[in-house]
Amino acid sequence: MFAKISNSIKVNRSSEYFRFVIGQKELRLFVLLAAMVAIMAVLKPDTFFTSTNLFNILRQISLITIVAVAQTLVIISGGIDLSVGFNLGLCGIIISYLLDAAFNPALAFFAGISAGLLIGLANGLIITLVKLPPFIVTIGMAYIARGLAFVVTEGFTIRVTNEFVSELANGYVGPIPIMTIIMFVIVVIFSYILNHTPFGMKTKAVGGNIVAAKLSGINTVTHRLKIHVIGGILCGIAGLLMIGRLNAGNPNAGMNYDVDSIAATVVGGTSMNGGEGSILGTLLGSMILGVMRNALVLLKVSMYWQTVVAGAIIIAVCSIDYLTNKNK
Amino acid sequence: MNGEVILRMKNISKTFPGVQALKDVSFDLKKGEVHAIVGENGAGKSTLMKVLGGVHLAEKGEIEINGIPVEIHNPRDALNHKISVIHQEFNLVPTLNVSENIFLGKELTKKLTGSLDKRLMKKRSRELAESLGLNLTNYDAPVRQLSIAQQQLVEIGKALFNETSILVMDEPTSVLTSKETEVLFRLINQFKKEGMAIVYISHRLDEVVTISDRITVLRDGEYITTMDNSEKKASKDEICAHMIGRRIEDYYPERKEDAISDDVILEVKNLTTEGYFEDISFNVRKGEILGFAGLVGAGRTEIMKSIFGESKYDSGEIILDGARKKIKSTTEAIKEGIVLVPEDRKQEGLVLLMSLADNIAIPNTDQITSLGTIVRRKKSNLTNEYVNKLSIRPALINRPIRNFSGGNQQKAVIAKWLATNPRLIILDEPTRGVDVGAKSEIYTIVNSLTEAGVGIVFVSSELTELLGVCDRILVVHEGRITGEFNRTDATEEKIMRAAAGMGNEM
Repeated sequence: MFAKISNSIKVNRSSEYFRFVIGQKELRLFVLLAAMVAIMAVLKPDTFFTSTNLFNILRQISLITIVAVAQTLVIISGGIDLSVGFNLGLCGIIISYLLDAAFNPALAFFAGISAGLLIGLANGLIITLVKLPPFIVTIGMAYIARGLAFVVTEGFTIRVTNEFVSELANGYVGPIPIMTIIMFVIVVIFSYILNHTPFGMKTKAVGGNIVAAKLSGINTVTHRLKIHVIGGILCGIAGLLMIGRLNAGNPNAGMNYDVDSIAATVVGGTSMNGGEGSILGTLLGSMILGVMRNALVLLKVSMYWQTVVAGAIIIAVCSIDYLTNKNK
Repeated sequence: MNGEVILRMKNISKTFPGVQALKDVSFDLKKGEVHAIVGENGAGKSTLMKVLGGVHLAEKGEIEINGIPVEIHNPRDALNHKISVIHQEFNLVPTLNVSENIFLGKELTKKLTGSLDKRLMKKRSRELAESLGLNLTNYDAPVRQLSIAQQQLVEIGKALFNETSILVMDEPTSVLTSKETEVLFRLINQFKKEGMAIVYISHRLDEVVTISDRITVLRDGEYITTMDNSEKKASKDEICAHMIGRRIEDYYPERKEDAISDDVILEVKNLTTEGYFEDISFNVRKGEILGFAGLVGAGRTEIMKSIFGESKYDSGEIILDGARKKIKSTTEAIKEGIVLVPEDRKQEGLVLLMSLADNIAIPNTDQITSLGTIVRRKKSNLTNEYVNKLSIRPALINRPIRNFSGGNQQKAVIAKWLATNPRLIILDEPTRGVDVGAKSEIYTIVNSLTEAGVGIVFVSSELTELLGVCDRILVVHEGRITGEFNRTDATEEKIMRAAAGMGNEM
């Protein structure tokens, strides 16, 4: 009998180790992604399965992935942030405006990213102190950010000629887009923080059961503030990259990033209820959506249908995830 | 005819992850009787009734109504068999009014237009409510504005409206004042005369003996015995012995008087929060177990939460080791060595999504972190140490905490705090919903902590437990301390009197 028990514990340990390296959810997503790539490689070997196209996909998903990392952190901590899109839009506008006014570029970048931080802080303060639902606070903040972007630009687009910004968003190191490198660095940093630091553990505790977290001595107010501030900073960085991509500060930039970032997060297996989820999953979710969009273009599906298919895939992936979890 | 068997449950078994909640339990109920089910928390009383009410599906066993085998798969089936269950948490829609609640799902409509006949529904429900003695000034108010007793009457009204022949009441008096309880008992006796069969679940043995005709005892999910109480003279000691399964003296660990030192760890002076508690003063010494008795809602939990820094208090002082402290947050309380094992471990004590190890680690991240990173080996060492100390079973530290039994979950909450090296542990209903074996283990753990010089505040609604475990017992009634008893002179009766606010003749 003892042999049996120790045996079962051993099995458990090795599977645990496996789960430590890559969680089951991530594994499923990875298989799905690999399958999509494989199918497309067969269907369109010349246009899809080329290094140019694949790196192109990676560059296309970089911005949204950075925003989705912010979204994932907020959602795991039990909240939601619908202001990420216009937050990054406003940050970009501020940087463009200051560059256009011949400010010191470093100062302009700092101001833009600080604006992101402040919006995150404002979200966090209202959510934790007034105790309004995050949904309402961040939707209001989205309007404010968008409105401010129009106030600053009076509705016009500001041209961005700064070479550093342009290089950051459009440059390459070898075959790899710099923006993609930035994305990976951010993914690695926050994946590590979430899985291997007290901060990450507390984030999951706050999202999983905020009462128990508070009664365990976690300062839930400051913790949620920090999460929103980090999210705001990431939006600021995304805003900087955005104006580089467009070579312009456009007051409409960032539209749909709120919904798209949530889509990447939930496809990546993060629970909307908070408490569990992973940054690696979000990266995979974002990649799946990116490959899908690219594939639909190459398969010459009309642009309008692409959106319909995207929606269907989001629902399908999440349904599978929900059903497998329910049966557990 | 009264006296006929209306319900027979045979060999019911039900398992939940980690616990066998019911093992071959049989139960029968006659028309016109009140049949009480008693047992400690976790004995299976509520589970048995949830099987009857269609909330849980038994793995094994049969249910017969009027001699005919029936299948109850969901609450609607139960209603169709004229079974109504009034749970501890009411099944009312708080935003709807009395008549909307009573007619919910069975709304009356006007023949001509098919629209709701609100006037008729209101009239009928009003008649029903008044027949139960529920006289409201405003029948249009949402039921959340009614008192708990009034809400209970609305639940009973719903049951009557369904022409219930089997009425199950789960701890109906736990939230009622003694006057409201009298009203309820009058109603129960009236229903009995009309031939209704009533299952009455309670752990207030006085009430059980007063109201019931037969008493069935469950322990650890097993049927123990059924006692006749037609004369209302059943012996409480006998019921108690059946519930615990051994003599009370053997159940609780022996207290060593010399464990208590003269050093006061915590002194509370005139602590007051308006509307919750008033003028609370007491002290806890090193190695002492101080009990807090009282009825649910007496304010004990609020007092404890204030000391732990979770809620603010209006005035008063908290003195730790002779120094006055203003504890403003749980973080500060933990730093001062005060920890709280909360009343509701699932809602307040644990993060159910997380593993056993993570739950223990949350307040102890400092100990397992180097260079800002949680070191897995340190985490598992820390966890294993306390898993062994408290014999948490199974000893799989990466298993999600939700898959552990109630007793082991409670030990996990205690473990997480022991790892912080506390000076004072406040336990709020630490044995609620845990099985008898785990209870006894928890008593032993608490006892051994005092030998290491830790002070314990032990809040419980179970008198036998308080009498068995504590060195000294304070009684709280409506937010005030109304009695203090030493181990030697405390009795159930004295505590009950103080808890009911009847004063004590000391």
